[in-house]
Amino acid sequence: MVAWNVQNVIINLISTFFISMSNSENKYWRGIEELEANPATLENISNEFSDKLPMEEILGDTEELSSNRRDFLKFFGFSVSAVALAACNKTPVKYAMPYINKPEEVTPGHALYYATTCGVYNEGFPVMAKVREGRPIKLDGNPDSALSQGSVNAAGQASILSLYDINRLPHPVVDGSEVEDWSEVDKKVNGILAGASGDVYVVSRTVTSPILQASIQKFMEAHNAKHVVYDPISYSGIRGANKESFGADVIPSYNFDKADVIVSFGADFLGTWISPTRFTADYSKNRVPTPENPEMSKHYQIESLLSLTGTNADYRYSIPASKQGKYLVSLYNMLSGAGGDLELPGNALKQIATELLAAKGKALVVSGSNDKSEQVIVNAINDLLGSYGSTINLSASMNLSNYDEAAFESFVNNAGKAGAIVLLDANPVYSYHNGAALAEAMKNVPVITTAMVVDESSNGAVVHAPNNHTLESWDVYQPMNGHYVTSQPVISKVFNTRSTAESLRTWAGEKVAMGEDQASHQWVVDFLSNDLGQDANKVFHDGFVQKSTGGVSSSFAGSVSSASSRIASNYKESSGFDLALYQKVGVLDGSSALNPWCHELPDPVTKVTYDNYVSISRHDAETNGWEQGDIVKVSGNGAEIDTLPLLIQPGQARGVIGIALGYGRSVQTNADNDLVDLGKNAYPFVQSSSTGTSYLAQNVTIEKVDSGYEFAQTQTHHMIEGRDYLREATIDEYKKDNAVRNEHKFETVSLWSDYDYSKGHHWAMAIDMNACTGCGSCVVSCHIENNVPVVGRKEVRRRRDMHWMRIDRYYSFQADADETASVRVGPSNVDQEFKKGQWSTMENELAGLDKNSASGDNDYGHYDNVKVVHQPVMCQHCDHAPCETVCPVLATTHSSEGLNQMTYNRCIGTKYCGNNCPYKVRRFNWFRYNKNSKFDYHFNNELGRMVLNPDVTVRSRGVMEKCSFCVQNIQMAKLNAKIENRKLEDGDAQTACAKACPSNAIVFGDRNDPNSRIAKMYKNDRSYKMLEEVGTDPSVLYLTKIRNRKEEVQS
Amino acid sequence: MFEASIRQPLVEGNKSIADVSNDICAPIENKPTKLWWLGFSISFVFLMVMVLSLGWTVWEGIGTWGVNKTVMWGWDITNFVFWVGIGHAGTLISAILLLFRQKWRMSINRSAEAMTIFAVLCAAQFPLFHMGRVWLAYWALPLPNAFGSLWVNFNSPLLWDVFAISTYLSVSLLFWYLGLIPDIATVRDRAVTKARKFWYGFFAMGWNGSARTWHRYEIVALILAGVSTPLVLSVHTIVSMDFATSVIPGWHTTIFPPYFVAGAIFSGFGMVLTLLIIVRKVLNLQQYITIGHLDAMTKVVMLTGSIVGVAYLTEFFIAAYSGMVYEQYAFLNRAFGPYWWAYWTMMSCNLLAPQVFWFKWARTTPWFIFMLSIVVNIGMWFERFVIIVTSLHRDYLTSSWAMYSATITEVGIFLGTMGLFFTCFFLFSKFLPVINMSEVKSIIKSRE
Amino acid sequence: MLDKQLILGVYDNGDDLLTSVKKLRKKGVEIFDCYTPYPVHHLDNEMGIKRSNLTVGAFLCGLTGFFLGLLLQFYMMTNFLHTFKSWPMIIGGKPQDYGMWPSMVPVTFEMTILFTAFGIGFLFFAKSKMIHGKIAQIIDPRQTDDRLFLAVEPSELSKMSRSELDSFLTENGAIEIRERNLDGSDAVETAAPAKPKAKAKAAPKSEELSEEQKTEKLGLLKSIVGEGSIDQKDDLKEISGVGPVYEEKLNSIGIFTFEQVSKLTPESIKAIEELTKYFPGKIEREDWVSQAKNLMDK
Repeated sequence: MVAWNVQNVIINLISTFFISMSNSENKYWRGIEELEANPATLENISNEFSDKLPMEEILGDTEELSSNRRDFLKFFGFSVSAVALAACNKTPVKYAMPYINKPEEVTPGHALYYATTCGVYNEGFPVMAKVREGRPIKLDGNPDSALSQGSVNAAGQASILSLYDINRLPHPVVDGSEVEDWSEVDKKVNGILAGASGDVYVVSRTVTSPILQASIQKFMEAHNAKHVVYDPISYSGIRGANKESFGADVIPSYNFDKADVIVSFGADFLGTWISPTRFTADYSKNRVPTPENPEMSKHYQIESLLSLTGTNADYRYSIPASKQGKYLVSLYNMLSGAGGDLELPGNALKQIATELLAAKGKALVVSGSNDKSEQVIVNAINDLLGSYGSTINLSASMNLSNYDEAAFESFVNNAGKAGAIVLLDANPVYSYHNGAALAEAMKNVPVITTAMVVDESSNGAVVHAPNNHTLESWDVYQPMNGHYVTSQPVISKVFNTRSTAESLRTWAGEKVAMGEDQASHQWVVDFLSNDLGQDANKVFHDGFVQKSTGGVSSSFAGSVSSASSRIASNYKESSGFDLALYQKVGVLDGSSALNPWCHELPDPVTKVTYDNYVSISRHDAETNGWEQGDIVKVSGNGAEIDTLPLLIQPGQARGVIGIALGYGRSVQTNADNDLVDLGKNAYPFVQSSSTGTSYLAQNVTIEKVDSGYEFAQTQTHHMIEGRDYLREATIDEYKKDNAVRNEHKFETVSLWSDYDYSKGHHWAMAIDMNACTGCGSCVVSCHIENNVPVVGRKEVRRRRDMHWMRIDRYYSFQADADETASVRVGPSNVDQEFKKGQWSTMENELAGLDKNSASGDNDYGHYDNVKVVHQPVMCQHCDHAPCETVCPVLATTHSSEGLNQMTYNRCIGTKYCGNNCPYKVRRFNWFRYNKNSKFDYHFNNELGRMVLNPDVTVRSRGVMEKCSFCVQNIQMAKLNAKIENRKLEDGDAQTACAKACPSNAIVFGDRNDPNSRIAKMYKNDRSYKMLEEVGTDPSVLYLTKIRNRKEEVQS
Repeated sequence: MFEASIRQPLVEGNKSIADVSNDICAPIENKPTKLWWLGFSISFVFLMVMVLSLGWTVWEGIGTWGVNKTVMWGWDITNFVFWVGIGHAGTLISAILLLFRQKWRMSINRSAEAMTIFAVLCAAQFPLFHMGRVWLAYWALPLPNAFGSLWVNFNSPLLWDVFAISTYLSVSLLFWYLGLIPDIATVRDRAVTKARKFWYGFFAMGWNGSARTWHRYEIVALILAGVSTPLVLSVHTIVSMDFATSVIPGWHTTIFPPYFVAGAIFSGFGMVLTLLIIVRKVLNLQQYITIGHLDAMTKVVMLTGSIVGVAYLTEFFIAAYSGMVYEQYAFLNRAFGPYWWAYWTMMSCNLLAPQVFWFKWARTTPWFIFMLSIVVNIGMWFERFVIIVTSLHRDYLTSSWAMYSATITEVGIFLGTMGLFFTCFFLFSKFLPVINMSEVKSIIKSRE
Repeated sequence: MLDKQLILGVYDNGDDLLTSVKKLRKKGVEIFDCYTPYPVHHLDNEMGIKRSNLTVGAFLCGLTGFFLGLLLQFYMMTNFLHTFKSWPMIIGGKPQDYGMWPSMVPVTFEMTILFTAFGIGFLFFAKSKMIHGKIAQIIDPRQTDDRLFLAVEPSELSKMSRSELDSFLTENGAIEIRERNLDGSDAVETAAPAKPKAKAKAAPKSEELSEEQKTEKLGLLKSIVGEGSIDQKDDLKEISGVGPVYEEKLNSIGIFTFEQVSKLTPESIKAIEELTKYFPGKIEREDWVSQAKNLMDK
């Protein structure tokens, strides 16, 4: 015993020394950080395990204490919440319990879920906010709403961080100085408005909130103001076309679940187009064949860039973006019986037309173009196919954008003469193609802004009257016609802000009840009960209310001939490149510029983080002698970007380059990190006129100015090299044999008797690669749930991203060689026959194809035809885990429920486990990522750390971490079931990724429960274990990907 | 196997017993030469580089190295295995050659053993400092945990390493020290200064050359040699198990234990040659470390080099024969992947270069042997690099494939351990007899 | 002990010392100790030192290490003594009972080696009464350098007179005779006069060849087999029955080549046997002469 005590003393001395070394920064309160500085915790760290946990009191059963290891985590969870509780007591009451009326059910350590909204597009997306001790820490989709169907996309998940953004204005600013008192703001605004010599403009994004709309109305009436709507991404093409075709200026709802044949012309509906979360959920419903119903929808994608949607298509054709309209006309002509003049390789367009006609009433054609004429043709096609009323719903229209180009253009032209401009949340200086001119004009005009941060447009405003964050506000939105979504505050205001609606009505002269948004609350309640006739409390509880809507006539009245002639006349042959501007899944239109999660999320297709770039086809790059990483100057249509790196993108159409929007922001920021001056702004290339906005620029030229740019990619090898861990088959093969590609089961032999997992739970996961679209929602969800650090571009370049789960994206290429070509493959110079159309997944075969392409002039035709698979990979929780065996200090072991556990405070960081992991899912804390100015992301400031999940430890440097199957959720579910005295049900315990997955591709559960979905997955013929032959006995299943294609998939 | 003992005398120049003492004690009793000071200063500067690099690593984190989520071990473990390998020749020369009664060992075993200890010291830096939390390194020892009986994992090859390396270091130290005692006594009794008398007297443990003590001493030496021989073989076997027991293609190989041991002897002899050729020149000991010694050692180098070469080829065959795509790719990737240069450096340095020792001229020309021994050292470093980095950087899932390159911190640590090694060696050559005087005296006797 | 008075014969090579020891003991004089700078082989045998039982100690230490290693691992990793219950671990699905023995091999092995090595090391130091900082009992500083000392206690003078002893030692190669205390101080003259001793035999025993006889035999040998030199040396080990030791012996009496061996006559063989004391009848039995002839022809 004496020796033990001496040892403790030494440990304490050593650890005190190191902790005191690292504790130089000042600190104050708030949740998790208190946890870190709590002396008791420090002692616990030094003792490796706390020996003062109140376990006996909690459990009252000391025998159980020493019974098994499983209980350790239970105790651990208790201790975390106990410390969190202690931490909260010390905080100022106003911040610690930030409820307006403290709900009775608040129990420290227990999460509460509130139905509210999140706003990525400012659309009012229904979510459930997970709140811990007054802090919202996670957003999950509202499971009952048709819009979210239980999940939120990547950008929506990440949007919670904007609440805890240190760049938010803490107080209103008047004439450049912060003021505490809002009456000063109101005085100043009233002064400005009274003295306005010209028109007063209110500039906002599309308003979906009737409350805000009413406020704007009142403001306009009071000050004779004009309201202009500006959205960076315009949908005026669809709206205009529908107005022409059906007399309804709407963006319709598309029902991908009802479509058997989907043809998308450049619409990235799974990634960024209109309502991707909902579309993904719908789309995947008809994409999973089962033995009972071995059918799935057939998806054709015809596009110029390789979009996320394109990667999921059964057949994908790349066409120049400028010719898309002509292809649409051709398709229409084929459908209507006349022959089309344009055709895809292999007469595919004809084939598509045939299949569309065969699936009449169950077909859907969409186009991502914002050109009205093209959308008229699309409407005509859909009308021919009988899609209206089945796959397209005109009445449940989306209130996504009311952006009117003509109105806004006239505003821009008159902005210089305006008396005052009230900017709500719009940021046209950044995203309008002629933003520079607008900025120049606004210089002479007093600007009043309600933006939460100082962005490009509000920079230089006379009055900053910062708005509340959505999660701090009472509001109601109507993102879809008849679908009202409420927003309620889930945290007391972080800063001295006021809702825009209240500001506007105050400025309109109305007497507004001040303090804690009483007024807003009243307006929302009034609206719900008076206008909608609902019980307001019930709506707040549900988060949304669905009202029936009036029908819209769906008799097509548009003119195809005039539309097609406009398309024909607009088409210009150009010698330069077509520039297709697109949005990325995480960054979207650029409004989340300061959100590190959005940027650290690799692009689903290119796997590039932190950058935008010029994507180009291999053929074009080779022809011009350019290489990946070359830095180019892009110019055309009066716009120019001087330096952007070049990225060679398989599957991209020749003659087309792509640049993502949303980069090149210059927001005033208090952080010094990779998000400052990130990428280049491509909005100046947007072709905008009073008649519409086009995200396609023609006749663009590229000039190489430098080379050697290194992309921060999380994956740099893109072929599976013919390996077996990724399995795919065609639907015909599947119909013949449900276990196709999966017939061969490995007989794994064990030298000893295995641990018996049949008692209790045995957690497992299944990932259906047919449903998975690779959208990245799970990656961000996991990032947030598990306090995964953000590491920045440099570290990603060094291949040290910390994502606990990643989505591997693999390409396979189709040989473009002559009927048969013999290629030299690999170092052994083996000749291999390649048939035209045969698919290759191996790098050295690809190299052979390069040399033997048909024309022999480095045509790289096979780069045009590419198939893509997305494979999410996280810790496989192997029952025979190689990582566990090699850890010298038992820092990673197995739980009796089949979880591969990581004990951070036992880890000494030999990294042996990481090396010995065949799946390479273990992540090492190379640096201290929290409270480290070298990693100045949200972990480095008090506010940003408020988003941390108190149930998950923030890892110190030098320890290994990895996916835990969200063990904190499992434990919580088990405790809840115990409290409620019932058995754990399937679905009680959910991982963050499974919750976030819009397509329900991830199934998590207890395989010992015979009725669980996961247990059924084990019986599914498509399921297999990755690298089963290594003998690791993983707990994650993958389901063979089935494509609705004709030919053999694998050579 | 070895028959040169008669052809050429083990010690040249008709030395008397007194000459032996005088010659070998000279560096200890005289002021160090300028050459010694130069060498020592350079080594010391490098040692400081190591201290700085390690300090930086501990202060900032392992992130200061080039390792990443795929290649989690890089230069660190490469250097570890490299140094441990070098540490093998010393005990091997002493122990195995003692058991086989090979008298030619006598003039080289002291410095070879010293080299062992210094090399193992250098090696120990790496597993220690490659830990993310080096201040908790003692958790790898089987100590009771503060809360309960949470122990270490005896399934882990890394823990076997802890036992193997610490046993090896301490037993080697004992073996070396035991051999030093009579010589320290000699220095003590020749000493003219008080300090020298005191310190050497302290460490001589009262040795007086009594026949009774010699009797026991010889028994102990024999037993220590007897246990050291399997110990040497076990240490590198266990080091090889770090890789052999894993699941990574290119690591998961049953040939590793014998192949690593052969490689260790190979690299150890390479390093002994490098050192002795310098030592015999700098300390003027050509008559004790003769061409005959070099000749014998080069033959060992050639033999073990060939064994290692055969192992390289066997690995390829087994990979091809295994029918496992991952295994096959791992080896093709070694030879033709992005790290092909490392592989072919290894092949040419380890398999091809030593073949010149078939020629007598090559075996008897010190400058040439010196060059070759450096080549062998380089080759063996690359062997470890190839095994560790090229196996890891492209393993099962192609999505995780990544490249690795060392940062200046890692290079600094490696050069720094060179500094540590040579600093120790220079101090050793100044303060301790670099040749086992008592044994050499006994072979002079036998020739009379 | 410190004032132990000793009569010392000082030698400059081990062979003379060995011969002296051998002969003195034949005369019944017990050797107190010898002090040599290097281990003189067979000196311990000739002095009559009993073989040390350190090996037994080593074995016991090793055994301790072996079982301690096993105990350590069973205690820590299995349910042996119910130790594993407090922190039950599942490690990669590996067994947690005796089934994990393969994992225990390396550590058990290392523990065995460690205990053997250090056990014998400490036993050696203990038995030799060696410890750091101990003041050495040095009779003469050159005893660890280039002089070998044969020490006889004065009490042994009862078996041989002092003058006899002195002349005996001088005759057998001692270059100096001294009297010293064990700690190196000059001996106090002890008055006790040496008692007349039993007669010492004048002539050396027949089995011991004198130098003259040696030279004579070598001369005889040389005249028969001819002069050999190290430069022409053949690998005599190729003769069946000759090992490295025998080869060395042959070399030491000037036989280096197969040709010389093939010339051996019964007379010269006898001379070899007398000179080396190694090959009684062996050379003829194994027919080295014809073996050597065959080897020469190759």
